[in-house]
Amino acid sequence: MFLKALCVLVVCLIGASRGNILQGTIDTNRLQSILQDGIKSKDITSLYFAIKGLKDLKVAVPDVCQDIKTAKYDGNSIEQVFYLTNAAELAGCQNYLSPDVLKTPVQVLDKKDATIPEIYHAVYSLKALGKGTVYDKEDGLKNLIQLLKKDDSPINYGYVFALCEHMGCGPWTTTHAEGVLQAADETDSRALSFDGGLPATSLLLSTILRSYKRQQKPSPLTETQRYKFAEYLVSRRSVSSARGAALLLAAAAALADDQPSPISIVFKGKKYITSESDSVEFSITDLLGQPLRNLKPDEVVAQSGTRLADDVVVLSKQVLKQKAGEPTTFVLNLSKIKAQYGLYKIALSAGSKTTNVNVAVLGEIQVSSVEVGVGDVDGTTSPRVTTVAYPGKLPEKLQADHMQKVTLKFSVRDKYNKPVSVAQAFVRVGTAESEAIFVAEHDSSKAYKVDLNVGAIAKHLNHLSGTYSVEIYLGDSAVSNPIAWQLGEVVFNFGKDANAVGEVVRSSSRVSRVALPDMSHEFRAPEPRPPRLVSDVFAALCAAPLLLLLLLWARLRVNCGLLPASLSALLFHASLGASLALYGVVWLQLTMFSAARYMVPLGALTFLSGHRLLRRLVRDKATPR
Amino acid sequence: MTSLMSVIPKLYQEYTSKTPKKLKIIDAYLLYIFLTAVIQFVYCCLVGTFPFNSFLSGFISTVSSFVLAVCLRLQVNPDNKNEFQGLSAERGFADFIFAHLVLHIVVINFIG
Repeated sequence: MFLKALCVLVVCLIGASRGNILQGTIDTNRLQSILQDGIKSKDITSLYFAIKGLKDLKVAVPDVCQDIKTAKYDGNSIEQVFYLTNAAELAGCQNYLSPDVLKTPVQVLDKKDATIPEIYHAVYSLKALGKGTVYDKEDGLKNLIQLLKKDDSPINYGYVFALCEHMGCGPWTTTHAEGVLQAADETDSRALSFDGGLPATSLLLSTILRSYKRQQKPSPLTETQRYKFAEYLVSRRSVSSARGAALLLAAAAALADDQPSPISIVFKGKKYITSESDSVEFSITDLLGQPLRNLKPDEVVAQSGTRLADDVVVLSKQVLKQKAGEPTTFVLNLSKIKAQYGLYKIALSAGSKTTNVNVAVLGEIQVSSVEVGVGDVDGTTSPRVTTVAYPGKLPEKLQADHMQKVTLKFSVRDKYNKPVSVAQAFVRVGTAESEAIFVAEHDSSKAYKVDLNVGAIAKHLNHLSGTYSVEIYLGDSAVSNPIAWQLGEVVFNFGKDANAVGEVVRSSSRVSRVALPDMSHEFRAPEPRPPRLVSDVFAALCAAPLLLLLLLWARLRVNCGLLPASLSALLFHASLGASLALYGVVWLQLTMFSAARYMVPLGALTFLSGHRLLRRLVRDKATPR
Repeated sequence: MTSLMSVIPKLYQEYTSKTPKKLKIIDAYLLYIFLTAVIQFVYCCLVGTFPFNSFLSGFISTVSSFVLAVCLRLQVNPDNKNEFQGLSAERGFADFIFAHLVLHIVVINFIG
């Protein structure tokens, strides 16, 4: 328990100190090729920086005197004259220059309102031509300080520091350098740079560090500052011009020279081990990829190694071996942990610096066989099981309908036949057009099982019944042989709400932008009528009670004796009959409205005559004759 | 059962002797309407209701006619004279005719 707590503490400390290690170096080979391209340039700026960069790299510079002589430049620009004269000086061909180039620097120095960059370029142009003592030390520095009050940008300080190197006012530089370094901008609390970008940063770092060195004073940079400037320079590694490359090299060289220089620890080559190759290599260098001067080989130690999955400590205090002939390459042998694959975190220390690296131990996995069972969803019958050996296929197409489920069971084993679990275990069911991927889950004994409930998976496959291929995918970040196994084909029948494979599935959300077809009301289709005979019989049957009525009435001796022989009686019966006849006509052909037109007079007539008739009947009854 | 057998002829005798002739005429009419409705219903059970509106209008016609006739019989019955004070039998008959005309407008419309 105590050990574990200590481990956690150590891991925490290691994690906290991670920021003090560089995760890369400046690629000097790439910069060199940029510079070698730049030296072919006709542009004096590129030419100057290419020569300067190659000199810094201590690479032989080809003879470029002819190029310098023919290079195009603007004689009135002091900057161009500076590049020209300094390129000539670096290449050792001052004699190729015409005496006219002296004119511009001298004019600049005579000028009252010359700026700091102009003075810097003028003084160094003259210096390159061997006429450097023009600028007076005491008055010059006072003048420069006055100018700095007007514009105290970091790059101006850089120019003044550079001029001080020339004039011998180094102590002034050392008193002001720390203040300038404090003014550096911090990005993401990781990197430090000066306002003005790479030119300002490069100029300041190289002049300040050079001045301190010349006066044999300890470096003004703290360790944090050193790493943060280095971080900035590493992040600028994508420079593409000769100017950028030369500035980057100058700054990096200055920083790498400043002891103790920032340490970079990176993987050299692969970041994983397998059972065949059980060691990883690290390259431990300074900012420029050079061997560290004061790092003893036995100071490179793998302090601890833990497995990420379960935090088990697997190694401690293992010294890395320096590779013969390659002083920057250190080899860590991990044969102890190669048996169990996974990701491991290793705390690596070089001298006083420690960093954490993740190493993957790749293992091989294998699947011996899979059991494919087709059975009822409710489990009433035992499933039909087919066993397929890897990498074989199902002997026939399996059939499964929507009342059934397909079950796949398999177990993943490592090289030593021990069941293991993998991060990715999927079963893909699909055709060329559509697919559905299901996750295989393992139980406590690491046996994988997938239930494909045919009715339930229909919605993932657009309800398309048909033949689907089934594949098993197994993989893990720590597995060297991921498996994709084409298992075979299964015919799914999704039952009543199925479409056929290939049928276009109509989307309900489709918006129609064309005229919809006209809607017409459809009457209910007439049902078949009964045979004519049946209808006729029943029509007669319906009429039969009328006969009965007449018969009964006849038996009761109904007579029309009370019917008065008058106009009203006649009219009443006639109009009543006409009304009923009108109903019959309405039934057969008239509309309600035309019928109403006839009905109004007829109704009135019926009412009047009926009223008259009935009144008379009542009167007759009251006064019997 | 025997009492029922003895009651029915008695009932019939009472009916034939005591009921006024007018009411007997209406009763015969009621029987006619009732039988017609029964035959329509039997047809509908045997053959089917299509077209339903025709069956319905025919059946409604008979049922309503029956109800109207019953109403007429109530009004005409001399035993109910006190109930319908001031409403003569002729007034009842006029109402009966008017109700029939309105009813059959509906029926004809519905029959299709």
